[in-house]
Amino acid sequence: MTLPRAYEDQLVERARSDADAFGELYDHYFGQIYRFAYSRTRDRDAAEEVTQEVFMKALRAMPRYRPSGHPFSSWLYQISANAIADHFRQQRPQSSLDAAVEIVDPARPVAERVVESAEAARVWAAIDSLPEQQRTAMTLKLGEDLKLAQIGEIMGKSEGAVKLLVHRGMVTVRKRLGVDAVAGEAL
Amino acid sequence: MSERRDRFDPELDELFGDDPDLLRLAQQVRESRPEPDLDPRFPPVLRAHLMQEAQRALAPRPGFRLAPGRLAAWGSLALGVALVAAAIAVVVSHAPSGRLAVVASNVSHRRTVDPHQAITLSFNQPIDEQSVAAVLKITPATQVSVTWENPETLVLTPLHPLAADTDYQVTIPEDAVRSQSGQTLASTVTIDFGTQPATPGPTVAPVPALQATAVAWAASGAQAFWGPGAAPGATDSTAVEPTPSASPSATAPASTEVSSESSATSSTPTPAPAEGAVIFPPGQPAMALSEMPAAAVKVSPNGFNVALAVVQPGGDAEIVVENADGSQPNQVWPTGSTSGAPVTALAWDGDNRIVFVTPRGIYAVDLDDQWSELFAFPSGGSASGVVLAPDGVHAFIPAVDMPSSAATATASPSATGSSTSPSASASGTGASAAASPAATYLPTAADGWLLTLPAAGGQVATPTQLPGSASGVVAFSGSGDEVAWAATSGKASTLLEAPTAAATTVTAVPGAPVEGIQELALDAHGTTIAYGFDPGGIEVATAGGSVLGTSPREPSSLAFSPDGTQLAFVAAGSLDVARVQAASPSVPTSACADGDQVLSRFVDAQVSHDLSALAALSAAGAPPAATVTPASVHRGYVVSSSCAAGTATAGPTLTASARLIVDPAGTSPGQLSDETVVLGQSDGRWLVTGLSVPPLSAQGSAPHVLSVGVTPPAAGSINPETVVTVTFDSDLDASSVSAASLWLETAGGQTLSPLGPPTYDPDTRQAALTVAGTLPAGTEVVVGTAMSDIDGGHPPATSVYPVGG
Repeated sequence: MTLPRAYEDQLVERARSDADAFGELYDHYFGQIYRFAYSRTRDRDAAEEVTQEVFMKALRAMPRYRPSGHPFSSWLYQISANAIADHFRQQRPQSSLDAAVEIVDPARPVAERVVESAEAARVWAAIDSLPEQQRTAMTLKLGEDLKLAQIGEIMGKSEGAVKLLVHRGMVTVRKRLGVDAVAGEAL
Repeated sequence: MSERRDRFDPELDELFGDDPDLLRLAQQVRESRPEPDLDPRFPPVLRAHLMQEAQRALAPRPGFRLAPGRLAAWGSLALGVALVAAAIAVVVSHAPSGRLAVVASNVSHRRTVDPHQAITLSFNQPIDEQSVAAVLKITPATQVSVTWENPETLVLTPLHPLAADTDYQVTIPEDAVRSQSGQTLASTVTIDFGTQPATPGPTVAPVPALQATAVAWAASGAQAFWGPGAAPGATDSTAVEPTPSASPSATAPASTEVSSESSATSSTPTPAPAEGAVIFPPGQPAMALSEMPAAAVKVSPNGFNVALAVVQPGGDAEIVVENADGSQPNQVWPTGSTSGAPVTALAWDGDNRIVFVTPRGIYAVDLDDQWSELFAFPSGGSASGVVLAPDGVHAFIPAVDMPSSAATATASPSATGSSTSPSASASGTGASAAASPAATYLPTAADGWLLTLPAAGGQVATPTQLPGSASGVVAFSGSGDEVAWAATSGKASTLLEAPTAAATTVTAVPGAPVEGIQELALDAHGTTIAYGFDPGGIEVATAGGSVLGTSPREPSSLAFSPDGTQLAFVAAGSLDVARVQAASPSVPTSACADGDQVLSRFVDAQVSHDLSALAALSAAGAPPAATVTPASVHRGYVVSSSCAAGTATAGPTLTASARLIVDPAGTSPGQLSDETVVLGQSDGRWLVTGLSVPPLSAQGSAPHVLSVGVTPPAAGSINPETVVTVTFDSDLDASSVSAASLWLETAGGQTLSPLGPPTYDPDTRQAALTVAGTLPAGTEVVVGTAMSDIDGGHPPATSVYPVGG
């Protein structure tokens, strides 16, 4: 659920000095931030760690937070994206998609196979293997349902650049699932 | 956390509409989003931890709130019903045995009630609906309709939205309500609450976003710089996240916004990554300056050469000079007679000499490989915090790297703990009037020094200590004529600056952020400043405090282009370039536009009792704001202001009326004080020059002015008119709004003739006066005691608010 914008603005203003108001923001945004962190890390401990870091950083920065005309959640997602990037930098080398590429029936269209849960996991694993910025854009668009403009705000990019990232990412996912896996190539 | 995702996302059509298969796949990917694995114990545990931390981290700073009259948007909000349903009912009283009592209200003691919200009063017994008397009262005077939600719950619905940012009190006399069994209240019940500040309206220009373009990958420790021809560059453009099938290209052209993005599917062969210092000429292939990363890169003043401190395996660096196109690299240091060392910074001093910093000291080397030592650090220094001015003439030296012999030679107050102000130090460069606020800033032993480097080895000029510079957040302007630094005290920061030629002339940058500055960059002459926060992103602002743009990106390096129109920065593994917009010409600006922002910051500082900010924003000789501002203030906002344009001999002046409010608490009534604030310009910067704060007085039940607005004549109007609008907190008796209760006066006390009697709009609680032409300078709007609210309350005294300018 989206907070009414005017109410959110007031809440954010209060949260600059009021712990209860910050608590209300936490109550509202915890779910989104945790889900985003989990979508990107696929690990409960990592998602908890990222979520904690996001809200701790936000808390410390609240007194100097300045509304930019975009939803408060954009700022939280921005902190989240940085925290997740830090997490992966510390975790390198990253796992490849190899483990997720198992036996598939190449005769069936990719889109049909996605609806099955195992396939869904495989598809999201393919998204995990994308370059960092494509992965972030894809997760925010397809995992979080954010508008392209808001993703642009979060990532510091134009809307057009975000479109390109999502489109390229989707093409890569299709290619890897539909072509690479069949050919047995390491992705 | 689970939720159905069956809403149609039209943007997917926009993205993949030309490829149905891809669209279908995207929709199914979206629907197959994995649900997170969440330990249900985690959210409450983290919340408790955050709340504990919040008690420490969030100082009691209610913050500046915008004047409700500037803000018009909240009238259209549709919050009321939902919030009424969700509001927490707060117990307000308990009943003696058998007596009627108000047991709960949805607004009691809340300070952020939505102005559209109805007020509910819940009783402990069913009420005789016919018994509710008209003496039930709301202050400020507010017309309400009375309905029943159930026999125990009374609902008061304001006929017009409540005033924003206002304290209210509901009074229920003991005999105003009777239960069905005939019981009355044991005593009069009062319920106090406050409304939310209003939403920023269209008169408040939104802070523009910096539109940044990713140029290339950059290592996390890379520095952004500007190469020949205003081409951005990074000192270490090594790809930070190689992918299995392709490596990101640091040589990708900068012409597309995603040129930094690796794509395994790109049909264009991706060149091997260029590692090391690389520049990215717009529209041309990237140009590698070195194979290894550089610690620093600088272009010579004539633009013919580039100097690099190329880091070698093991950490030592070589100073290499190349042609501007990267050709003919020539190592100029170390020479055969010297050993290498790490280099932390370099700069060109003229077109033939390079100044550079090593852990041993500051050196110079010319293009003929002749080198000299300019300054030696004491053993144990690190040189990591040394900042060189771009002209190679000045350097900031952290305290740890300043030899004690040099430090004591300055007769600076820091070494002895003397209370002498920085402007009175022995350098004798003289303090200007603009420097007077510097008297507040005294250096400590931890603060760094500004050093003027000798033209050649030899006697070093007396350094000057920069008060508050222990933070190490220091930057020079592109020309080297200004130095700025974040002076920190606890969490708070003040941005100070001084001319490098007269470093004791310290002034505070009035519009600067007050905390959290981690990175800093100045344009050529320090008129535009870029701040980096972590977390918090980037803010670019004028030295006068006007914010030109912000970005959520968290930079590790900031650099203005030579002409100041672009900002390069490294953030999250990417070299980005943002265009720096000049103050928007489409936004109407007055001579006092920057002054309005300083005024806002000043009131904000009064509310938060930020003593350092109050000092920084006050001119020498101004009343001591920290002393005259009541310490117990909870809220504050500007009611009205007027700008007097400057003359040939005097700058513009901003005169404002601001309200400081103490909210009611328990049995303590609310109080307020309408202060007068005068701001003027000194050396191009706005500072408070006058302040008059009357003693706090009880808010009372009289109508108060919330804000005053002025609508100037439309451009090109045949019959130009100016409309002055006064917004009240109370529902007014419309018949009392007349020439006897509301009028305009010139500075000389003459009444201006309006085009008609004042009008009153009960929906907005606004009274308006219209006059022909423009308002003379110094005009004030006067609210007389004849003004009356619907309950018959009158202002206790005539009030005046500045409007003319």
